[in-house]
Amino acid sequence: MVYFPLLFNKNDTPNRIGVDSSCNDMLYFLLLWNYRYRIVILDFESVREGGLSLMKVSPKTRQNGSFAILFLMGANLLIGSSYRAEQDTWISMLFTSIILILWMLFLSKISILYPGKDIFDLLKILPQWISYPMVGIITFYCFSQAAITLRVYAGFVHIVSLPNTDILILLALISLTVLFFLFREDQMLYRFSYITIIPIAFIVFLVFAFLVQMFRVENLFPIFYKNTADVFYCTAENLAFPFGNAFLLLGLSFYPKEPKKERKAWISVAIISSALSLLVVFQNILLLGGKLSNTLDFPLNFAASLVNVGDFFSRIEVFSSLFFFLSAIVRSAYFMKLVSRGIRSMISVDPKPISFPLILLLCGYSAIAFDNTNSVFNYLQIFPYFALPLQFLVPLILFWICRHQTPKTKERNKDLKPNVVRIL
Amino acid sequence: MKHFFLIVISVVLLCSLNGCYDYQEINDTAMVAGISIDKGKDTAYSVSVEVIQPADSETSTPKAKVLKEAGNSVEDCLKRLVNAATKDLQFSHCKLILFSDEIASQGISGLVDYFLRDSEYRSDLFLAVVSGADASEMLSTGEKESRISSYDYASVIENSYTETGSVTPTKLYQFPMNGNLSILPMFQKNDGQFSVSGSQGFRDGKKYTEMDLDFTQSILLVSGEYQRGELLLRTDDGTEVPCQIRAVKTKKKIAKENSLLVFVTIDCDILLTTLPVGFDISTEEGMKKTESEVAHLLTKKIQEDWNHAVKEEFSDIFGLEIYVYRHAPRLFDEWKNKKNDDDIKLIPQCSVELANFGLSNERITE
Repeated sequence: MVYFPLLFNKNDTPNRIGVDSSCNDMLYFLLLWNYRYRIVILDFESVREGGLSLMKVSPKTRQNGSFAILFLMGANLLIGSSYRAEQDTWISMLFTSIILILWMLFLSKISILYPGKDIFDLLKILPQWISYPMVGIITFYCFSQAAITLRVYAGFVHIVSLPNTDILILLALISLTVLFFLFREDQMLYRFSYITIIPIAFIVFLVFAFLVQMFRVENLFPIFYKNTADVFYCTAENLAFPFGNAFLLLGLSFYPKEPKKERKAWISVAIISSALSLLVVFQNILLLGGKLSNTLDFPLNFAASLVNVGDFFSRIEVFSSLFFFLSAIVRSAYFMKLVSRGIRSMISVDPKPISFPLILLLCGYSAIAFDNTNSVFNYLQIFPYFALPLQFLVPLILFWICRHQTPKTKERNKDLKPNVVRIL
Repeated sequence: MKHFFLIVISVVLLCSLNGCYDYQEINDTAMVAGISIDKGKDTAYSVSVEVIQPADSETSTPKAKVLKEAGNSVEDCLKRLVNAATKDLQFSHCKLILFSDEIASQGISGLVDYFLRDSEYRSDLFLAVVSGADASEMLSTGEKESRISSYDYASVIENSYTETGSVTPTKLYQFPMNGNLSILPMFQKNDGQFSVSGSQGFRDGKKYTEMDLDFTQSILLVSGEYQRGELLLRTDDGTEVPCQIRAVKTKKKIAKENSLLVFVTIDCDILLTTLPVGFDISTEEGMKKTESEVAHLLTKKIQEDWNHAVKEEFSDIFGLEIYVYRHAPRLFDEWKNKKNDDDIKLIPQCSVELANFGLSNERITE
């Protein structure tokens, strides 16, 4: 036994402390510095495995939940869903929501079985010759997703607010914020999401409420006529971007020791994020119609610009875009955190020293890979073809392998078990 | 060392606080209130902008100034206008875009698309067409009166819809670009003054018909977009029945017989502004008779306007085809596939309730 001074938030229950190899000395000292002392007795073996300094504060459900919601539907707010099905987009969003809820139910199962294990930890169960390339592919996938998010949001600011400012400056500024989060513990990002999601939800409801009188129910008709293929294709597009990224949330535990609550939390995240997305889709179709929504790059921002309550409450889009912009930072930062984890998983190095070069690479990649914001949207049209198999097949295969391990592979993968510190 | 760096960074930041990246002095910017687009003499376009000139003193009012430039694209004209104004043009307060008749016939989809995509323009600014004169003339009138005419005409469009029910106030984002129909208010010059004289119908972004105010009212009544306004009905013997519509409720029903029928039920609350000779409202029976007579006149008016549109081949402006497609797509496809000369038939059914006639049951004047 090791007597180890650790600090907790007043409301933290000690039996929810976990060891996570992603934390390091700096985090430990930060914790010491930030919270008040409590004496906790840790299981020596666990501490030795993870290292004395590898401590992490227990998951905070609301913060984690807010983060998960923002991560899933944050892109939907500004970029908007695919409106390929035009007036029937709401039907495809409904299908997407149902699939998302079922998929989150499945992901919650993995999370219950392997709390705190992210996709890179789970990939270790595969033989090395396949796990390495897979980690590489998913790492690059996360990197490209971060680049897309960065490019779209920088493009948005460039188009809407700062047309005379070079886009590289905007990219650099967002990247610096992402870098800040890379140097901080995950929980800080979750806490930031918790603070951000309240005004975002408020704005979404406010815009909806102010636009209700301008809605035209006619825009919803004809319902589900002649564009069945488009509805399903639109469902696939919405699943691929952004909901398909749900598998990257593995490792985010809400209630590691309470499976029922954990499952409930995952489903709640799915329901809230899909409900908000559905609300935005309905609003855009009722207000702008399917055709115009399909044409616009940033339909919600466009809709917000139409809010005008007696010339007194207008130009709300300036205010709203600020908060939607914050969701971009959350998404990019999390993708880059995953890139760091992927690199560590592949070459076992501390990713912090390479964070800055990584961010430079991200900044450069997002500036070079896409000529302009339109090219990002063009890329998003072919995105489902290669993203969907990765997003859905990889977790399914991993889950199947985890459940059907032979004694030999079990021995090899003995690390892959719940890694929770026992508090005496 | 850490403190030293913090101090250095703070000093650098402090020094940069009094600077402002990309700043623009208010005197170097010009607020545009309205834009007009005409065909140039030797060029594709001639664009005029009404620029608001700030008030010289607290007591004076802001004045307007009209700048005009020609070019081969709207973008080209606007760039030339910046040079002419020697100021940066700000379009975020622009409320009106006017097109000349010639430009409207040529097609305005591309222009609407241009303005819609540029984030500098508000998407809720009004669109209108100027017939029988240059669109730029309409902006120039404000200069003499020290008024911002674009804002005045934007208010005219809004009021014409909400108060008189005679135009459709189409905003930039409401103008369809993909083959659908749209109606824009039309201004004409009468006695040196511009006023709303009717509407122009657009198909595929091009003007294809002109309608007077009465006709536009029929379209609004059928489409269910009529709010309230003045209506002038005529009896068979030519007696004018001026009435004020207080509230309207339009319902549509599709039926199929030999051809596609659309039954349009219009329930109105009407106030007869002057009681024409032969109309009696002193008794309950007279009241009912008057109501049915006004309803008959309203039905007749809509039917006549519809027949005229069918004859002139622009009946689609009533939006019945779109309505049938939206609510009975299969029927619409059947009709479309075996389309001969059999148009969709409009069957108007109006019912009227006379408002504000309960004050006296006696005839006030003989």
